Amino acid sequence: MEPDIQTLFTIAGIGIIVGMIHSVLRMIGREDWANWMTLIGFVIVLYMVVNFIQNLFQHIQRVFHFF
Amino acid sequence: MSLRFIFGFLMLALFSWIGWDVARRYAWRVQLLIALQRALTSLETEIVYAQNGLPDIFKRLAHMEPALLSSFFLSTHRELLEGRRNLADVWYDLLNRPPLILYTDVRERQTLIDLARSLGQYDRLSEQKRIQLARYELEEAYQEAKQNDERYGKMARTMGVLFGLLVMILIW
Amino acid sequence: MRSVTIMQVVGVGLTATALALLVREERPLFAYFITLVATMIIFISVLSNVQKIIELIINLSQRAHVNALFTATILKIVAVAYIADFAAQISRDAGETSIAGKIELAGKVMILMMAIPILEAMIETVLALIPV
Repeated sequence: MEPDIQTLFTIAGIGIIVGMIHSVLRMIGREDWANWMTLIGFVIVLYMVVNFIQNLFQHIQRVFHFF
Repeated sequence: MSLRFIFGFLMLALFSWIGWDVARRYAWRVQLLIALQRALTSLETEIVYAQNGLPDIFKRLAHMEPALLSSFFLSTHRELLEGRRNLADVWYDLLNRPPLILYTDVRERQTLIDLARSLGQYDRLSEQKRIQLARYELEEAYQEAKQNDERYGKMARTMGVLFGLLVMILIW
Repeated sequence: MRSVTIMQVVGVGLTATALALLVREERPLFAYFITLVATMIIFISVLSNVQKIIELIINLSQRAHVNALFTATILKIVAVAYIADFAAQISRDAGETSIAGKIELAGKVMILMMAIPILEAMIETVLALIPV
């Protein structure tokens, strides 16, 4: 997927919300669920970022290796 | 684009509703316990000062209490009139099936069933003591339920909204 | 590829900085991701402009009759340098200076490897000039 500002906001949004969920769950005492949630959020964002990196490298290859 | 927007909002609404529903369950348990305490007070009054038998007492209780407890007492009244089972069994059945099983915890169910078993004896004084004991246990259960309601209720609502937001952002 | 104005780049950069600040106190991890993605966005935006520069360089080198192999190698070296620097910077941002150092080391090694054919050609030329 093409990296643009949209996804930047998505990642920020996910980060904030996962942070809040983590705090709420930790306050309740279910710290294990909290950690799972953070891990899931991390994996989702990681997947997106890896897509971006792949996209970036394709761009670079196109620009530089053509010449 | 706007279709995803609408879908996202729908997800938000859905998860918020789920969270709020779970919170509502906790709040209802608190209400139920308050009503049960009131009913037990009335029960005590009826047993000590009136001369009616148990089935009639329950019929009068049914009229005094709202919705959930009302049908509970009405069913008790009907089952007792049929005469085949004793109070403890009747209550065991009624409490362990929906709808009441959803809004009660093992604690108050056990309290009520124990009380039911002891109501068979006709010694007024010991019955009164038993009812007071049951009321005391219910008060403890009520305190715990209120605490749970405050903690888990707010958590459930917050989690619902947060989760809805998360899904909405993911779909966006 | 569309070319990007400096205003867009500045916009992305400032927004990303603000977002990263906001997220950093909650989950520093996600702040790192935001930084990563923001740098990639800006990088990709710049690439479209870089393409024109590269075309210019190739044009000039062709007109100067420089060996095409040399031009290609130089451009590849520049690309490797940029990428390695980008990755090393991001690692250093996250506090992983050791990883950053190793990335830079790898970049230097690759550049050296790519320069080997040119060095060989140069040595052969020099040797050919020396009367045997």
